[in-house]
Parts: sequence; C-alpha cells; structure tokens
Amino acid sequence: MEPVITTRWVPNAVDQTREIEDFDAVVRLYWPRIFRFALASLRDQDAAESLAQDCFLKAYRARRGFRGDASLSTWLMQIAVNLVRDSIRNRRLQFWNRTRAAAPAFDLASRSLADRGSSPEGAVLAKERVAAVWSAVATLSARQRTVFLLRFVEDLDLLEIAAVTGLREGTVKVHLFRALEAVRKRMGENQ
Amino acid sequence: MNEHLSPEDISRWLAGERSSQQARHAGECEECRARLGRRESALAEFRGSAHEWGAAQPASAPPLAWNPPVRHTAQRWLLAAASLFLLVSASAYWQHSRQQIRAAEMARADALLVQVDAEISRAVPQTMEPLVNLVTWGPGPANKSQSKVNQ
Repeated sequence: MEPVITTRWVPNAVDQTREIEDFDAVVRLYWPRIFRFALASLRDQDAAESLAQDCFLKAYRARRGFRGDASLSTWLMQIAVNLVRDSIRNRRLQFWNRTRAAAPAFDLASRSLADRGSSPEGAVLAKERVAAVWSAVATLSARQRTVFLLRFVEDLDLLEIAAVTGLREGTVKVHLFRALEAVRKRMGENQ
Repeated sequence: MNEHLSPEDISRWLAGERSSQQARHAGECEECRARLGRRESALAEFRGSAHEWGAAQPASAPPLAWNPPVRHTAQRWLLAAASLFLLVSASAYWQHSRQQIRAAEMARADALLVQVDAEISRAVPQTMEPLVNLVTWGPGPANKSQSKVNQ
C-alpha cells in the first residue's frame, strides 16, 4: 500500500503569529468552523456555542504562547477537540445527546438536494443516506467520530488530523477505516 | 489487478490507504468506479448536511466584536472576601452573644452568693435549723415573711 500524500500549504510562523495579534479577525474567520465541528460532535446547539466560546477564550489566554509551529486553524482545532473530548466525558451531556434529535441536519440535507433540482425520489434517497451516516456517526467511539468529522466534514487531511488529535498518521487511518466500515454497514452497502 | 475492489478496499481507499494497482483498476473498471463514487457521494452529502446544519444556527455567526473576556478574578476575590467577612462576623457575633450570656449568668450567680453570704452572716440560726431557711429565695413577700418567721 502506498500512503496517500497529504501535504498542504501551511502559512509560515511569522504570518501565523501576526495573524493572532488581531484576535477579533481570528474569531470572525474561525468561529463558524469551530462551531460547526462542535455542533456535529455534540449535536447540541447550546453546548456547541458554549464550546466555541470556551475555545476562543482558551486561545485568547494562550495566544502569547502560540509560536506558529502549527497553523492557527490546527491550533484552534486542537483546543476544540480537547474541549469536545471533555464534554463527551460529561455523562449528563451524553444523556442530552441521546434525547435531543439531530433531525435538522437530515431535513436540511434533503431541502438542499431538492433545491439543487434533485427529483423527489432522489431527495428521499439522499435524505436516507445522510440519516444513515449521521446515525452511524452517533454509534462511533469518541475518537473515531472526531477523526471522521475532521476528515469528512472539516476536510482536514491525514497529517492535519494527526496534528490536531495528537495521533500518528497510521492510527488516524485505522480510526478512519473503522469509522467508514461502521458507516458502510449502517448504510447497508455490501457490494 | 483484475479483482474488483471489495467494500473494505473502498473503505481503506477513502481512509487514505490505496495501492497503485487498486488505483489503476479503479481507473479501468466502471463498476468499481461507480461504487467508489456512490460512497464518496454519500460522504459529500453528509458533509453538505453538516455544513448547512451549522450555518442554519444563529450561533454559527461569529460575535460582532470579540471583547476580550473580563477576568472575573477580582469579582471572585471580592465575593470570597465578603463571604469570609460574613463568616468571621457571624462567628464573632455568636461568640460575643455567648460571652454576654455567660457574663449575665456569672453576675446572677455572684449576686446570689453575695445575698446568701449577707443573709447567712446576719441571721442567727436556731439550733438544728436548716441553713436553707435563712436565705431569701427570690424577691416575693411570702418568702421574705417566711424568712423573718424563721428568724
């Protein structure tokens, strides 16, 4: 097997440290991404908003220590991943995760497909597929879910995921493979 | 490689692990390419739903201006100091009340002792008369008259 090359341009350290000086701009730029990741991970709007705030608060307090070794995005995502992990440890939150529906995501997906001109049948099938993926994601372990969301929602490459999660690239691949298998089985794809 | 990609191969592919043979086969085999496409398309739909779900939330918009969070350390210290002050005050008040009560009790006991001492030293007891009869118990006239009778 040949490893897929997963390099991506990373801004240099000077740019990164300059960027963080204007923290207002940092928040404007990265807030939607952090919030989206938190929402997909926790499936709770209030918890996601609170997590995004905590993430930027932590980053703000630690900004002097940021040396630009990793990209600012990676650094913020690292903080978010740690906060998500801490939130998931909270048993009460898990209870709310189970009881609160994540249905809006499915509805939005189908609406968006319908808007794009898909046939009603196609929209229904797409809705079912998306629902199956969300449903499978809910059954994943916290680490597998994090890796899966970073890859397929946030579009991070394997090296970035490794940097964000602190895992080795090979371990990221293993978690990703298992997550994809769980999704495939949930979708009933045996071909 | 003539073998079709298995479902596990496709998962491995999507996880970033693929061989050049598999890549070549996928390029040539329409069926495998279609299966791969279906999986990729499902993941793309999932990505779209996550993005749209996030964007539809009011909280997804960044704050208009990032105000550096006010450190509540000073407030916390003030609250802690106020709590400590209340605790100490309550404790001091309680101690003070107890001391006052104790002092009043001591004063009453002292007064009684003085009274007992004065009355016993003034009275001349009869033979075998109990000393208790010599003392005036309380300010009532009945007791005083009884005490005088006893004298």
